[in-house]
Amino acid sequence: MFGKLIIYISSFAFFLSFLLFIFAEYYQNHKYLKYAKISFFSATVCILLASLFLVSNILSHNFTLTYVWSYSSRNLPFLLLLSTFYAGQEGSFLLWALWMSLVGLVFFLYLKKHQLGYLPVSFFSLAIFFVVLIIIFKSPFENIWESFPESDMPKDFVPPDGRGLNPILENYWIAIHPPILFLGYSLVTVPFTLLLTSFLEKNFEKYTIAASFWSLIAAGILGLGIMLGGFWAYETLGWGGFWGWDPVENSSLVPWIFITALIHSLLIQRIKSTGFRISFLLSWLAFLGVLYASYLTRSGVLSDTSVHSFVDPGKTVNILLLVYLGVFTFFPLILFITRAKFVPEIKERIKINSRQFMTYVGAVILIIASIVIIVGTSLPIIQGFVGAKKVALEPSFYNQWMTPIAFLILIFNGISLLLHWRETPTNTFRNKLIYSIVPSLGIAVIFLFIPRSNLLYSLLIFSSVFSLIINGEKLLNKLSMRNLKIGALLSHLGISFLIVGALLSGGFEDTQTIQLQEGKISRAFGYELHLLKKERIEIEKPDREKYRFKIKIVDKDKNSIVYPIVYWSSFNNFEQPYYEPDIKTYLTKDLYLAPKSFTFNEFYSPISFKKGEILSAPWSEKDSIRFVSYDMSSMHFGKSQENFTFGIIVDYYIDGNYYKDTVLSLLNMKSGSFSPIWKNVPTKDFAIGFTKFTPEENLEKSTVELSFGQEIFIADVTVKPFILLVWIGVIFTVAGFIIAVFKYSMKRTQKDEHK
Amino acid sequence: MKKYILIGGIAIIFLTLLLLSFNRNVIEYTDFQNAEKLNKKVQVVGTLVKEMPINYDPNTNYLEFYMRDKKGKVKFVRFNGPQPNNFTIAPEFVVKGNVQDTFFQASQIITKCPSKYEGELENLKK
Repeated sequence: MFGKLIIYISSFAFFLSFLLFIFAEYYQNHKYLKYAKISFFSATVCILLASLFLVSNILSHNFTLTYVWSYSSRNLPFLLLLSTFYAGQEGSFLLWALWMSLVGLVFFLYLKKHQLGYLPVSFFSLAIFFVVLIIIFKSPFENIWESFPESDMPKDFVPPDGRGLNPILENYWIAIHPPILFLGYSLVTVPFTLLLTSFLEKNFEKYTIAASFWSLIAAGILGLGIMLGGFWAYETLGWGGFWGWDPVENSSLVPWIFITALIHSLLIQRIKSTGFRISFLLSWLAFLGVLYASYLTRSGVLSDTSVHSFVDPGKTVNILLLVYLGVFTFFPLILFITRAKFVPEIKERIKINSRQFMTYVGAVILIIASIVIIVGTSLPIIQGFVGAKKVALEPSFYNQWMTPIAFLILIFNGISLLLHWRETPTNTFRNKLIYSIVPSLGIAVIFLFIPRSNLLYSLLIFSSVFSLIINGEKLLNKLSMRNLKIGALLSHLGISFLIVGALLSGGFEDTQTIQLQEGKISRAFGYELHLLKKERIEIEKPDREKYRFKIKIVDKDKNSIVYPIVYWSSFNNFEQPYYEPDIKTYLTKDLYLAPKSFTFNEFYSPISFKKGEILSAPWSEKDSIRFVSYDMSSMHFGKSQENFTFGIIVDYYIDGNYYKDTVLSLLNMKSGSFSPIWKNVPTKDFAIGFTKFTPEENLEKSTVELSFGQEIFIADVTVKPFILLVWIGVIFTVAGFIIAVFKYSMKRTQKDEHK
Repeated sequence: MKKYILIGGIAIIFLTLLLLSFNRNVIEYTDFQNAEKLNKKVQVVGTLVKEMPINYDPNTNYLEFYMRDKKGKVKFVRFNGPQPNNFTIAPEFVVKGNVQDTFFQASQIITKCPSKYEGELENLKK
């Protein structure tokens, strides 16, 4: 009750805060302002309390809450347990609201410090209000007897344990990536509300510096969040790359592109007092991008086209999200139309050979990139509207578009840095241009002769090197003069590295499928791979069968070890294995080893017996195997109609010793197909598998078949050339944003001191 | 005026390119019969024919199996890689590729896992 109540209060208070801040501004009334602040703070406190309340419920394993029961379980370690806060939709909305509130608080203090008035907080409150409103309908505080009304469950019923976190997410990355991403999303709201206010007040220059400052923070954090997701996908989830043009990835990228374009237009706004309309539109689009992303990724519309899984949140939430999107599309549009004519016009013509012009062109290209991504991602929705035939868009669509777009961005970035803001004398420009074009062209031509290269790739390399030389030279110049205003240069340098890294690691990757078998050598790309051993890990956890494969990679005479992982989990009734890749990183490439599947090499003919029988072992007359009983314990973990796991307990008698073990298999009721989970026979170098079950009228009379042999582990080995450049690029880019933010706040304080 | 013509012109070129590239990069969901006619990359949804042999040769890295599409037509499918995750127990899957002479050459197999935890309440009460 408490949880729901504070959410209600919070949504009411945020709405009140939205109204009161407007009234306070309109009537210039201190009393209204006081009440506005009170409601804003109490709303924020309510969200904090709600979050703490959910955390305490999660930590205390209160499974009477459907949300806690759905996503957590008793066996989770602390950090993962804490992360189940946002493992489901309800909690992710709360996380969003929490970050919005915290950002709102800091934003409020910022406005106070710089005496910019509180009107932006009004719109900010409205933006949070909608998120909180969604939490009312999609509440993490629902009791389990409310969620299943048809079950006539007693109200004091407490499930013994929760369903647990999807094992795919059981990784420290889940504690890092989503919070940063959501913080980025929340920060995007700030520049939007600032520029919205500037249009409302017809005071177009008032918030330029504030908006720049907050856009830089937003772009830095959102960018970091996106790329950490990419790194997670690459390193642990085994999706093969860091970026796959998946709808979820795309929809997080679009706001980032808009906010990055905004940073550029705000720069022009600051220097030349022009471009107010473009800045407004960009900040607005960035914010709408966030709302659209949350709609796309939470509604079921994309479930067929994405590797991420989606759960339809229900009609109410979908409608609320659309209302949210609608309100923030309609009102800013009206405001824009009615206010655009008040924007001061500057009669000066923009010269083509000015940095201003080039920066605008860069922004336009970024917008085009966003449009391409939005249209591509929204295709299933568009098809749904027009009733067209269902088709799927290949990732090649994005690659074809983004290659020339990246080329243009890099070229314009390079050229713009060679130009002055207003106009540039042709001679100096030409000299500088030749300086950077000649080496770039040389490298591009050489690149053309590399196998699998093509003209488009070569052009991309040309533009990257071009931009690298210009940014790098300027960067070194500034550093040598002890000038630390290097944020922009560092970020652009990072983007060049990132693009080169993406091109080389994606366009020139190569995969070979190998079979690994204990005692045999496999070869790929000139490396020798030895499967040393398969060891069970996390044995203390009964909900999983997890195996680590120790694989030695021999590179001439240097050896290294990788540990890919394969495991079965009760989360999906042991129905299908989960795979985790492992990576050997070299300076010039990554060797990416991703488990794919297993086959089996039969050593001895299979044996069949009934419960209670003893047979001599196929490998030795002296040894024997006894079929003790059936093991149905794994069936308790969950059930689906068709598939379930079932096992038999066997006693081995080997070389005078007794061993007990359970052999499991996945049974499909419909097809009768069996997928055994192979296990090593104690002390032997081969495995046992439960391969067949012939049912009779009861289990006592039924027969089982056991097979013996060696498992063959099939894996893809992929070479990713120069993927290190991608990570270096990301670090540079984000560091650039941080430096720029820092420099901005310094500038700001200096300015204040001058006053 | 000139400015608007320029912007309009660029916009039209951009949209044309966008539509063209859609056509090139889109792949249709269809059935085997249609795939034979189309002679381009398509995707077909269907089920595994479990009565027929499923053969994976680790040496050539070829997976060969028979697949029944939604209209009931059975086709021999060849895939350059091992059995994907969940292959034999997935209720249905999608193959991407094109028809070559007598068989369907798949470049990708996407298995969808059955949705979990539906009506799981019984289990909860235990």
